[in-house]
Amino acid sequence: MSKIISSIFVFLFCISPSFADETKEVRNFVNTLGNKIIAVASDNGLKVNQRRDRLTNIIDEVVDTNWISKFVLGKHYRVATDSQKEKFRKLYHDFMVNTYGPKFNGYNGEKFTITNVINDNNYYTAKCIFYPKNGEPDINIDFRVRKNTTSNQPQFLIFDVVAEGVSLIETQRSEFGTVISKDGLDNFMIDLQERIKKLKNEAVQPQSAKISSVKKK
Amino acid sequence: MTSAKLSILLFCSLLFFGEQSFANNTNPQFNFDDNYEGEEISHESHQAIYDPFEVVNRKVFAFNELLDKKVALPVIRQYRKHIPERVRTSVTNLVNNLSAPFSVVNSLIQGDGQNAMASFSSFLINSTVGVVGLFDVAGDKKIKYNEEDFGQSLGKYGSKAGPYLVIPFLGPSNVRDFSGFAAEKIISPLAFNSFEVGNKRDLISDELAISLSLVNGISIRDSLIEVVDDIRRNSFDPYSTMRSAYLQRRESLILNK
Repeated sequence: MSKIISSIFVFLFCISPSFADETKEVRNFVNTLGNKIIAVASDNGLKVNQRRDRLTNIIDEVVDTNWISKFVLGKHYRVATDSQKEKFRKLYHDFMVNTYGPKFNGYNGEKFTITNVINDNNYYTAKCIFYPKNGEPDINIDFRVRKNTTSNQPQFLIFDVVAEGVSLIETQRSEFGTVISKDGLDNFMIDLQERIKKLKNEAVQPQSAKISSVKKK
Repeated sequence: MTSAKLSILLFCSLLFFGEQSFANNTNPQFNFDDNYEGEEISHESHQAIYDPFEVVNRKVFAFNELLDKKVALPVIRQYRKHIPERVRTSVTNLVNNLSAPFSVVNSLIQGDGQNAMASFSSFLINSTVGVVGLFDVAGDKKIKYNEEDFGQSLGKYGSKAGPYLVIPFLGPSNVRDFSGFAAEKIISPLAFNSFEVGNKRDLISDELAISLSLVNGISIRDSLIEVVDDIRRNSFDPYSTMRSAYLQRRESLILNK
């Protein structure tokens, strides 16, 4: 009996530091990423389009668009042909980086703190609070992070952002699912293509200029 | 209806809805294997979207959208233009403070003594030192609490959301949350006020009750302006985006995540 207990203890001692280390690594990853985004977003030395491109690149490196593209297709993924899957994967990637990269462009250096990092079996949740500058209520945002071990250099990837309890990927899955059920995947991909074109055009006429003019009203 | 009868009714409805266990608080699990083919999330508390009245809901949604663009947004624009930010903050504080007693009661129903205490302290401090709730003195002193409503209490006791509803003028809801909302409005001294206090029901005039509701509505819509704008601009189907976001948000409020 004592042997069993001691072996359990040995096992726990072996395993817990690795969990603790990885939790720390996730914290560092999210912290570094957040600071990098804030630094670029509030760098007034950069032109609007330069800022936008840099932010898009940062998002591109850390967001797991390959996996998310499967998740958001949901039940429609299994019935899609290989060429449809591949086409959607590429379109979704462009859609994500061009939608969410520029979103940070108007971000004016508000700070954030990571309150906790939780190990949820095969992924981590980094719980963060963002503090807007103008006295608006704090915003709770969770970043869901996983370690991609399939590549030669294992890296952390963000596969979901949960703002005030609302998961980005679950919402997109629901939204895309409704449209695909109604119009079919091919038609949806045409819409997606149009949207990406529009988003890229907005890069030439930056959205942040529009946002600041709305706020001034 | 007397207060005793109403209390019994509320208690019975709680028992009726509360036949299931407490809401489960676990995080969803995801499949990251290479052979993953977009299967559903495995999550005990995850509820599939149930929208049997979608056809009617979409019509009401379209009506609300039109009303919002033609009436509410112009009002909000004027509100933001003419009312200074600190005054708007005070209005939000006032509205929040008036709903604090509901958080106290619902926290107690949910057995959350800590939140009941925090919301009670906040109400007491803000109503006095905070000049009838115009200043969030308690919040500045780091007394924070989660807002709890009757819909959340029902959810905490295991009541399922029921069919998704879009309510004219009010927006997204479901059977559970709308029942909770209606129950609170019926007993609220600042709304329909079914309680008799010293043989009197009209604690405040109808005009004041309507004004408070309007101010409340403006304050809520004002706080949602960026979110709704974002959905309208980016969603391929704003109806389903709003539905999913609303249901997720309510679940997370029930679980106090």
